[in-house]
Amino acid sequence: MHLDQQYIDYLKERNSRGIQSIYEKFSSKVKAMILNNNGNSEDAADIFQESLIDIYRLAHQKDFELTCPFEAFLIIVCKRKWLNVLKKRGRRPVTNLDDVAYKLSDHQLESINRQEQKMKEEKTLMLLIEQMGESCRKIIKATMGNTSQMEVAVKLGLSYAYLRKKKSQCMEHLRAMIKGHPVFNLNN
Amino acid sequence: MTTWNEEITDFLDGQLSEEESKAFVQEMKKNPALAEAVALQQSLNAWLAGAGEANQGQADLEAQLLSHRHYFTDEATIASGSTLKMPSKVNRIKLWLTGVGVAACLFLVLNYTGVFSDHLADLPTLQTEQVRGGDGRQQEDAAISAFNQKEYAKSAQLFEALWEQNKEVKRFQYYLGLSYVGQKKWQEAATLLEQLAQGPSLFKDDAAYFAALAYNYLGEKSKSQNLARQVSESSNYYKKANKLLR
Repeated sequence: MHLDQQYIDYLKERNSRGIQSIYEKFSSKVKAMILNNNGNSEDAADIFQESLIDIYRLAHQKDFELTCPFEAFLIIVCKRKWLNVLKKRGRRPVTNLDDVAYKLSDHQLESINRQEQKMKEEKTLMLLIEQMGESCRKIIKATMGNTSQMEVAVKLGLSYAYLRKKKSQCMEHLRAMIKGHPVFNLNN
Repeated sequence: MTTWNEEITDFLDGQLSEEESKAFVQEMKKNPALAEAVALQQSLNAWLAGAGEANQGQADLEAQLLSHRHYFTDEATIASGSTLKMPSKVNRIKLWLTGVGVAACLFLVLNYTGVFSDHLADLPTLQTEQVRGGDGRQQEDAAISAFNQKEYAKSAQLFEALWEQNKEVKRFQYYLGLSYVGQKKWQEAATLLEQLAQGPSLFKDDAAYFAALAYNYLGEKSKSQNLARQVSESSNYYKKANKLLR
Protein backbone atom coordinates (compact mmCIF):
# COMPACT_ATOMS: atom_id res chain seq x y z
CA MET A 1 0.00 0.00 0.00
CA HIS A 2 1.30 3.47 -0.88
CA LEU A 3 2.04 6.06 1.82
CA ASP A 4 -0.47 8.40 0.21
CA GLN A 5 -3.26 6.06 1.25
CA GLN A 6 -4.06 8.73 3.86
CA TYR A 7 -5.72 10.85 1.15
CA ILE A 8 -7.95 7.93 0.23
CA ASP A 9 -8.84 7.55 3.89
CA TYR A 10 -9.68 11.27 4.13
CA LEU A 11 -12.22 10.79 1.36
CA LYS A 12 -13.61 7.54 2.73
CA GLU A 13 -13.99 9.00 6.20
CA ARG A 14 -15.17 12.36 4.83
CA ASN A 15 -12.54 14.03 6.99
CA SER A 16 -13.06 17.77 6.50
CA ARG A 17 -9.47 18.83 7.32
CA GLY A 18 -8.11 16.07 5.11
CA ILE A 19 -10.39 17.07 2.23
CA GLN A 20 -9.27 20.66 2.60
CA SER A 21 -5.65 19.51 2.35
CA ILE A 22 -6.49 17.68 -0.90
CA TYR A 23 -7.84 20.93 -2.34
CA GLU A 24 -4.88 22.93 -1.03
CA LYS A 25 -2.29 20.57 -2.46
CA PHE A 26 -3.75 19.40 -5.73
CA SER A 27 -6.42 21.78 -7.02
CA SER A 28 -3.99 24.27 -8.63
CA LYS A 29 -2.44 21.63 -10.91
CA VAL A 30 -5.80 20.37 -12.12
CA LYS A 31 -6.96 23.92 -12.65
CA ALA A 32 -3.86 24.83 -14.68
CA MET A 33 -4.24 21.69 -16.80
CA ILE A 34 -7.86 22.48 -17.66
CA LEU A 35 -7.45 26.25 -18.12
CA ASN A 36 -4.61 25.56 -20.56
CA ASN A 37 -6.78 23.14 -22.50
CA ASN A 38 -9.95 24.90 -23.58
CA GLY A 39 -11.62 24.85 -20.17
CA ASN A 40 -12.57 27.40 -17.53
CA SER A 41 -12.44 27.39 -13.76
CA GLU A 42 -16.00 26.02 -13.47
CA ASP A 43 -15.00 23.08 -15.67
CA ALA A 44 -11.95 22.52 -13.49
CA ALA A 45 -14.01 22.58 -10.29
CA ASP A 46 -16.50 20.09 -11.77
CA ILE A 47 -13.81 17.71 -13.01
CA PHE A 48 -11.93 17.83 -9.71
CA GLN A 49 -15.10 17.16 -7.72
CA GLU A 50 -16.32 14.35 -9.98
CA SER A 51 -12.90 12.68 -9.87
CA LEU A 52 -12.81 12.79 -6.08
CA ILE A 53 -16.26 11.22 -5.93
CA ASP A 54 -15.17 8.49 -8.36
CA ILE A 55 -12.10 7.78 -6.23
CA TYR A 56 -14.24 7.76 -3.08
CA ARG A 57 -16.58 5.17 -4.61
CA LEU A 58 -13.70 3.10 -5.90
CA ALA A 59 -12.08 3.13 -2.46
CA HIS A 60 -15.14 1.36 -1.08
CA GLN A 61 -14.51 -1.64 -3.31
CA LYS A 62 -12.93 -4.50 -1.40
CA ASP A 63 -9.80 -4.98 -3.45
CA PHE A 64 -8.91 -1.32 -4.01
CA GLU A 65 -5.28 -0.47 -3.35
CA LEU A 66 -3.39 2.73 -4.10
CA THR A 67 -0.16 1.74 -5.78
CA CYS A 68 1.16 5.15 -6.86
CA PRO A 69 1.29 8.70 -5.43
CA PHE A 70 -2.22 10.07 -4.86
CA GLU A 71 -1.38 13.18 -6.87
CA ALA A 72 -0.51 11.15 -9.94
CA PHE A 73 -3.63 9.04 -9.59
CA LEU A 74 -5.90 12.08 -9.13
CA ILE A 75 -4.35 14.03 -12.01
CA ILE A 76 -4.59 11.08 -14.38
CA VAL A 77 -8.25 10.51 -13.45
CA CYS A 78 -8.96 14.24 -13.95
CA LYS A 79 -7.04 14.30 -17.24
CA ARG A 80 -8.92 11.36 -18.74
CA LYS A 81 -12.22 12.77 -17.57
CA TRP A 82 -11.39 16.14 -19.15
CA LEU A 83 -10.34 14.50 -22.42
CA ASN A 84 -13.77 12.83 -22.53
CA VAL A 85 -15.48 16.18 -22.00
CA LEU A 86 -13.40 17.76 -24.77
CA LYS A 87 -14.28 14.89 -27.08
CA LYS A 88 -17.99 15.35 -26.36
CA ARG A 89 -17.67 19.08 -27.03
CA GLY A 90 -15.88 18.34 -30.28
CA ARG A 91 -12.71 20.08 -29.18
CA ARG A 92 -9.12 19.03 -28.85
CA PRO A 93 -6.62 19.69 -26.08
CA VAL A 94 -4.30 22.62 -26.79
CA THR A 95 -1.26 21.19 -25.06
CA ASN A 96 -0.02 17.66 -25.08
CA LEU A 97 -1.71 16.24 -22.02
CA ASP A 98 0.73 13.36 -21.91
CA ASP A 99 3.16 15.84 -20.38
CA VAL A 100 0.93 16.04 -17.37
CA ALA A 101 1.36 12.36 -16.64
CA TYR A 102 3.88 11.49 -13.98
CA LYS A 103 6.78 9.18 -14.41
CA LEU A 104 5.08 6.00 -13.34
CA SER A 105 6.22 2.45 -13.71
CA ASP A 106 4.39 0.16 -16.09
CA HIS A 107 3.02 -1.66 -13.09
CA GLN A 108 1.61 1.57 -11.63
CA LEU A 109 0.08 2.62 -14.94
CA GLU A 110 -1.44 -0.79 -15.38
CA SER A 111 -2.90 -0.58 -11.88
CA ILE A 112 -4.41 2.87 -12.63
CA ASN A 113 -5.93 1.53 -15.85
CA ARG A 114 -7.45 -1.36 -13.91
CA GLN A 115 -8.91 1.02 -11.32
CA GLU A 116 -10.35 3.21 -14.05
CA GLN A 117 -11.94 0.18 -15.66
CA LYS A 118 -13.51 -0.64 -12.29
CA MET A 119 -14.88 2.90 -12.02
CA LYS A 120 -16.49 2.47 -15.43
CA GLU A 121 -17.92 -0.90 -14.48
CA GLU A 122 -19.36 0.37 -11.21
CA LYS A 123 -21.04 3.30 -12.97
CA THR A 124 -22.44 1.01 -15.64
CA LEU A 125 -23.69 -1.43 -13.03
CA MET A 126 -25.57 1.36 -11.27
CA LEU A 127 -27.06 2.48 -14.59
CA LEU A 128 -28.15 -1.07 -15.39
CA ILE A 129 -29.86 -1.34 -12.01
CA GLU A 130 -31.71 1.90 -12.77
CA GLN A 131 -32.95 0.32 -16.00
CA MET A 132 -34.47 -2.66 -14.22
CA GLY A 133 -38.14 -2.88 -13.26
CA GLU A 134 -39.27 -1.06 -10.13
CA SER A 135 -39.40 -4.14 -7.91
CA CYS A 136 -35.94 -5.39 -8.84
CA ARG A 137 -34.46 -1.93 -8.54
CA LYS A 138 -35.87 -1.46 -5.08
CA ILE A 139 -34.98 -4.94 -3.85
CA ILE A 140 -31.41 -4.76 -5.10
CA LYS A 141 -30.89 -1.28 -3.69
CA ALA A 142 -32.42 -2.23 -0.34
CA THR A 143 -30.18 -5.30 -0.02
CA MET A 144 -27.01 -3.39 -0.98
CA GLY A 145 -26.33 -2.03 2.50
CA ASN A 146 -25.53 -3.75 5.76
CA THR A 147 -29.17 -4.24 6.74
CA SER A 148 -30.13 -7.89 7.22
CA GLN A 149 -32.46 -9.34 4.62
CA MET A 150 -35.02 -10.07 7.30
CA GLU A 151 -35.09 -6.35 8.16
CA VAL A 152 -35.24 -5.45 4.48
CA ALA A 153 -38.25 -7.75 4.04
CA VAL A 154 -40.04 -6.05 6.95
CA LYS A 155 -39.17 -2.59 5.67
CA LEU A 156 -40.45 -3.39 2.20
CA GLY A 157 -43.55 -5.14 3.47
CA LEU A 158 -42.64 -8.43 1.83
CA SER A 159 -42.45 -11.92 3.25
CA TYR A 160 -38.87 -13.13 3.74
CA ALA A 161 -39.47 -16.05 1.37
CA TYR A 162 -40.83 -13.74 -1.34
CA LEU A 163 -37.92 -11.33 -0.93
CA ARG A 164 -35.39 -14.13 -1.39
CA LYS A 165 -37.20 -15.61 -4.38
CA LYS A 166 -37.57 -12.23 -6.03
CA LYS A 167 -33.99 -11.25 -5.24
CA SER A 168 -32.66 -14.40 -6.90
CA GLN A 169 -34.75 -13.64 -10.02
CA CYS A 170 -33.48 -10.06 -10.08
CA MET A 171 -29.87 -11.15 -9.66
CA GLU A 172 -30.27 -13.63 -12.49
CA HIS A 173 -31.56 -10.83 -14.68
CA LEU A 174 -28.69 -8.56 -13.63
CA ARG A 175 -26.14 -11.29 -14.39
CA ALA A 176 -27.60 -11.66 -17.86
CA MET A 177 -27.44 -7.88 -18.45
CA ILE A 178 -23.80 -7.76 -17.39
CA LYS A 179 -22.74 -10.79 -19.38
CA GLY A 180 -23.90 -9.16 -22.58
CA HIS A 181 -22.52 -5.70 -21.81
CA PRO A 182 -19.38 -4.47 -23.59
CA VAL A 183 -18.08 -2.43 -20.64
CA PHE A 184 -17.55 -5.45 -18.40
CA ASN A 185 -14.30 -7.27 -18.55
CA LEU A 186 -15.33 -10.46 -16.83
CA ASN A 187 -11.93 -12.09 -17.00
CA ASN A 188 -10.46 -9.80 -14.33
CA MET B 1 -33.91 -28.26 -16.36
CA THR B 2 -33.09 -26.30 -13.23
CA THR B 3 -31.37 -22.93 -13.57
CA TRP B 4 -30.00 -23.21 -10.02
CA ASN B 5 -31.00 -19.62 -9.71
CA GLU B 6 -32.36 -19.60 -6.18
CA GLU B 7 -29.62 -21.93 -5.00
CA ILE B 8 -26.93 -19.53 -6.27
CA THR B 9 -28.33 -16.68 -4.20
CA ASP B 10 -28.93 -18.91 -1.19
CA PHE B 11 -25.43 -20.39 -1.41
CA LEU B 12 -23.73 -17.00 -1.58
CA ASP B 13 -25.93 -15.51 1.12
CA GLY B 14 -25.12 -18.42 3.42
CA GLN B 15 -28.69 -19.68 3.46
CA LEU B 16 -27.97 -23.32 2.57
CA SER B 17 -27.41 -25.98 5.20
CA GLU B 18 -23.97 -27.56 5.42
CA GLU B 19 -25.18 -30.59 3.54
CA GLU B 20 -26.86 -28.52 0.83
CA SER B 21 -23.72 -26.39 0.47
CA LYS B 22 -21.53 -29.47 -0.02
CA ALA B 23 -23.91 -30.82 -2.66
CA PHE B 24 -23.95 -27.43 -4.37
CA VAL B 25 -20.14 -27.25 -4.45
CA GLN B 26 -20.04 -30.74 -5.95
CA GLU B 27 -22.53 -29.63 -8.60
CA MET B 28 -20.37 -26.60 -9.41
CA LYS B 29 -17.40 -28.87 -10.05
CA LYS B 30 -19.42 -30.81 -12.61
CA ASN B 31 -21.17 -27.84 -14.13
CA PRO B 32 -18.87 -25.05 -15.43
CA ALA B 33 -21.82 -22.82 -16.42
CA LEU B 34 -23.06 -22.94 -12.85
CA ALA B 35 -19.57 -22.21 -11.48
CA GLU B 36 -19.34 -19.24 -13.86
CA ALA B 37 -22.73 -17.89 -12.74
CA VAL B 38 -21.73 -18.23 -9.08
CA ALA B 39 -18.43 -16.41 -9.68
CA LEU B 40 -20.23 -13.60 -11.49
CA GLN B 41 -22.83 -13.19 -8.79
CA GLN B 42 -20.08 -13.22 -6.16
CA SER B 43 -18.37 -10.32 -7.94
CA LEU B 44 -21.71 -8.55 -8.22
CA ASN B 45 -22.38 -8.99 -4.52
CA ALA B 46 -18.97 -7.50 -3.70
CA TRP B 47 -19.60 -4.57 -6.04
CA LEU B 48 -23.03 -3.94 -4.59
CA ALA B 49 -21.78 -4.09 -1.01
CA GLY B 50 -19.08 -1.51 -1.78
CA ALA B 51 -21.49 0.70 -3.68
CA GLY B 52 -24.04 0.44 -0.87
CA GLU B 53 -21.44 1.56 1.66
CA ALA B 54 -20.32 4.41 -0.60
CA ASN B 55 -23.91 5.56 -1.14
CA GLN B 56 -24.39 6.09 2.57
CA GLY B 57 -21.79 8.85 2.80
CA GLN B 58 -21.84 10.29 -0.71
CA ALA B 59 -24.30 13.12 -0.06
CA ASP B 60 -22.19 14.29 2.87
CA LEU B 61 -19.01 14.11 0.80
CA GLU B 62 -20.62 16.04 -2.08
CA ALA B 63 -21.67 18.78 0.33
CA GLN B 64 -18.11 19.02 1.66
CA LEU B 65 -16.62 19.14 -1.82
CA LEU B 66 -19.03 21.88 -2.85
CA SER B 67 -17.90 23.99 0.08
CA HIS B 68 -14.34 23.89 -1.33
CA ARG B 69 -15.29 25.03 -4.81
CA HIS B 70 -13.89 28.47 -4.10
CA TYR B 71 -10.40 27.01 -4.57
CA PHE B 72 -11.21 27.10 -8.29
CA THR B 73 -13.52 30.06 -8.70
CA ASP B 74 -12.20 32.82 -6.40
CA GLU B 75 -8.82 33.14 -8.00
CA ALA B 76 -10.30 33.23 -11.49
CA THR B 77 -12.42 36.24 -10.58
CA ILE B 78 -9.41 38.12 -9.27
CA ALA B 79 -7.18 37.08 -12.14
CA SER B 80 -9.63 38.15 -14.83
CA GLY B 81 -10.42 41.53 -13.25
CA SER B 82 -8.74 44.74 -14.45
CA THR B 83 -8.07 47.69 -12.16
CA LEU B 84 -11.41 48.50 -10.62
CA LYS B 85 -12.61 52.06 -10.01
CA MET B 86 -15.34 52.77 -7.51
CA PRO B 87 -18.25 54.59 -9.25
CA SER B 88 -19.65 57.80 -7.77
CA LYS B 89 -22.64 57.61 -5.40
CA VAL B 90 -25.17 58.70 -8.09
CA ASN B 91 -23.69 56.27 -10.56
CA ARG B 92 -23.75 53.53 -7.96
CA ILE B 93 -27.52 54.10 -7.47
CA LYS B 94 -28.04 54.15 -11.24
CA LEU B 95 -26.04 50.97 -11.59
CA TRP B 96 -27.97 49.36 -8.76
CA LEU B 97 -31.34 50.33 -10.26
CA THR B 98 -30.25 49.09 -13.68
CA GLY B 99 -29.11 45.84 -12.12
CA VAL B 100 -32.38 45.39 -10.27
CA GLY B 101 -34.35 46.16 -13.45
CA VAL B 102 -32.37 43.71 -15.52
CA ALA B 103 -32.62 41.04 -12.82
CA ALA B 104 -36.39 41.55 -12.54
CA CYS B 105 -36.84 41.28 -16.32
CA LEU B 106 -34.64 38.20 -16.44
CA PHE B 107 -36.55 36.64 -13.57
CA LEU B 108 -39.89 37.26 -15.29
CA VAL B 109 -38.69 35.85 -18.60
CA LEU B 110 -36.92 32.83 -17.06
CA ASN B 111 -39.72 32.12 -14.62
CA TYR B 112 -42.24 32.26 -17.45
CA THR B 113 -40.19 29.80 -19.47
CA GLY B 114 -39.89 27.48 -16.49
CA VAL B 115 -36.12 27.72 -16.01
CA PHE B 116 -36.53 28.17 -12.25
CA SER B 117 -38.91 25.29 -11.96
CA ASP B 118 -37.52 22.44 -9.84
CA HIS B 119 -39.33 19.88 -12.01
CA LEU B 120 -41.05 18.69 -8.87
CA ALA B 121 -43.87 17.10 -10.85
CA ASP B 122 -41.60 15.28 -13.31
CA LEU B 123 -42.76 11.70 -13.54
CA PRO B 124 -40.40 8.73 -13.77
CA THR B 125 -40.07 6.56 -16.84
CA LEU B 126 -41.58 3.21 -15.94
CA GLN B 127 -39.66 0.05 -16.75
CA THR B 128 -41.25 -3.25 -17.55
CA GLU B 129 -40.75 -6.01 -14.99
CA GLN B 130 -38.51 -8.34 -16.98
CA VAL B 131 -38.65 -11.17 -14.49
CA ARG B 132 -42.39 -11.51 -14.12
CA GLY B 133 -44.64 -13.60 -16.29
CA GLY B 134 -48.36 -14.35 -16.39
CA ASP B 135 -51.39 -13.20 -18.28
CA GLY B 136 -51.38 -9.64 -17.00
CA ARG B 137 -48.04 -8.97 -18.62
CA GLN B 138 -49.35 -7.71 -21.95
CA GLN B 139 -51.87 -5.48 -20.27
CA GLU B 140 -49.24 -4.07 -17.93
CA ASP B 141 -46.82 -3.50 -20.79
CA ALA B 142 -49.57 -1.59 -22.63
CA ALA B 143 -50.24 0.50 -19.51
CA ILE B 144 -46.54 1.23 -19.01
CA SER B 145 -46.16 2.16 -22.65
CA ALA B 146 -49.16 4.54 -22.45
CA PHE B 147 -47.71 6.11 -19.30
CA ASN B 148 -44.28 6.60 -20.82
CA GLN B 149 -45.90 8.22 -23.85
CA LYS B 150 -47.67 10.61 -21.45
CA GLU B 151 -51.10 9.19 -22.31
CA TYR B 152 -52.07 9.34 -18.68
CA ALA B 153 -55.84 8.93 -19.10
CA LYS B 154 -55.22 5.66 -20.93
CA SER B 155 -52.58 4.43 -18.48
CA ALA B 156 -54.89 5.29 -15.55
CA GLN B 157 -57.67 3.23 -17.09
CA LEU B 158 -55.37 0.24 -17.68
CA PHE B 159 -53.67 0.38 -14.27
CA GLU B 160 -57.03 0.76 -12.57
CA ALA B 161 -58.24 -2.44 -14.26
CA LEU B 162 -55.04 -4.27 -13.30
CA TRP B 163 -55.27 -3.08 -9.73
CA GLU B 164 -58.93 -4.12 -9.52
CA GLN B 165 -57.90 -7.62 -10.63
CA ASN B 166 -55.22 -7.88 -8.00
CA LYS B 167 -55.30 -5.44 -5.10
CA GLU B 168 -52.23 -7.08 -3.57
CA VAL B 169 -49.95 -5.70 -6.26
CA LYS B 170 -48.87 -2.34 -4.87
CA ARG B 171 -47.07 -1.54 -8.09
CA PHE B 172 -50.40 -1.11 -9.89
CA GLN B 173 -51.67 1.19 -7.16
CA TYR B 174 -48.52 3.30 -7.35
CA TYR B 175 -48.59 3.53 -11.13
CA LEU B 176 -52.28 4.42 -11.05
CA GLY B 177 -51.45 7.19 -8.57
CA LEU B 178 -48.70 8.45 -10.89
CA SER B 179 -51.14 8.41 -13.80
CA TYR B 180 -53.43 10.69 -11.75
CA VAL B 181 -50.45 12.99 -11.10
CA GLY B 182 -49.85 13.06 -14.85
CA GLN B 183 -53.49 14.08 -15.37
CA LYS B 184 -53.21 16.67 -12.58
CA LYS B 185 -56.03 14.91 -10.74
CA TRP B 186 -54.48 15.97 -7.47
CA GLN B 187 -57.24 14.80 -5.13
CA GLU B 188 -57.35 11.26 -6.57
CA ALA B 189 -53.55 11.08 -6.61
CA ALA B 190 -53.24 12.34 -3.03
CA THR B 191 -55.77 9.86 -1.62
CA LEU B 192 -54.42 6.83 -3.43
CA LEU B 193 -50.74 7.55 -2.88
CA GLU B 194 -51.13 8.59 0.74
CA GLN B 195 -52.77 5.23 1.43
CA LEU B 196 -49.79 3.50 -0.19
CA ALA B 197 -47.32 5.64 1.74
CA GLN B 198 -48.88 4.63 5.07
CA GLY B 199 -48.43 0.88 4.66
CA PRO B 200 -45.42 -1.34 4.01
CA SER B 201 -44.52 -1.33 0.36
CA LEU B 202 -41.60 -1.11 -2.00
CA PHE B 203 -43.10 2.15 -3.21
CA LYS B 204 -43.57 3.73 0.22
CA ASP B 205 -41.05 6.57 -0.23
CA ASP B 206 -41.97 7.36 -3.82
CA ALA B 207 -45.68 7.33 -2.99
CA ALA B 208 -45.08 9.62 0.01
CA TYR B 209 -43.30 12.12 -2.22
CA PHE B 210 -45.98 12.23 -4.92
CA ALA B 211 -48.77 12.34 -2.31
CA ALA B 212 -46.94 15.28 -0.69
CA LEU B 213 -46.71 16.96 -4.09
CA ALA B 214 -50.42 16.40 -4.77
CA TYR B 215 -51.39 17.89 -1.38
CA ASN B 216 -49.07 20.80 -2.10
CA TYR B 217 -51.03 21.51 -5.29
CA LEU B 218 -54.28 21.18 -3.34
CA GLY B 219 -52.99 23.85 -0.95
CA GLU B 220 -52.98 21.47 2.02
CA LYS B 221 -49.54 22.49 3.23
CA SER B 222 -49.52 20.63 6.52
CA LYS B 223 -50.48 17.26 4.98
CA SER B 224 -47.99 17.85 2.20
CA GLN B 225 -45.14 18.54 4.62
CA ASN B 226 -45.96 15.57 6.86
CA LEU B 227 -45.73 13.26 3.87
CA ALA B 228 -42.59 14.95 2.55
CA ARG B 229 -40.91 14.31 5.93
CA GLN B 230 -41.65 10.59 5.53
CA VAL B 231 -39.44 10.30 2.45
CA SER B 232 -36.28 8.57 3.60
CA GLU B 233 -32.79 9.83 2.83
CA SER B 234 -32.03 6.87 0.60
CA SER B 235 -34.92 7.73 -1.72
CA ASN B 236 -34.35 9.29 -5.13
CA TYR B 237 -37.02 11.82 -4.14
CA TYR B 238 -35.43 12.92 -0.88
CA LYS B 239 -34.02 16.20 -2.23
CA LYS B 240 -37.25 17.10 -3.99
CA ALA B 241 -39.25 16.25 -0.86
CA ASN B 242 -37.09 18.69 1.10
CA LYS B 243 -38.05 21.41 -1.34
CA LEU B 244 -41.68 20.88 -0.38
CA LEU B 245 -40.75 21.59 3.23
CA ARG B 246 -39.64 25.16 2.48
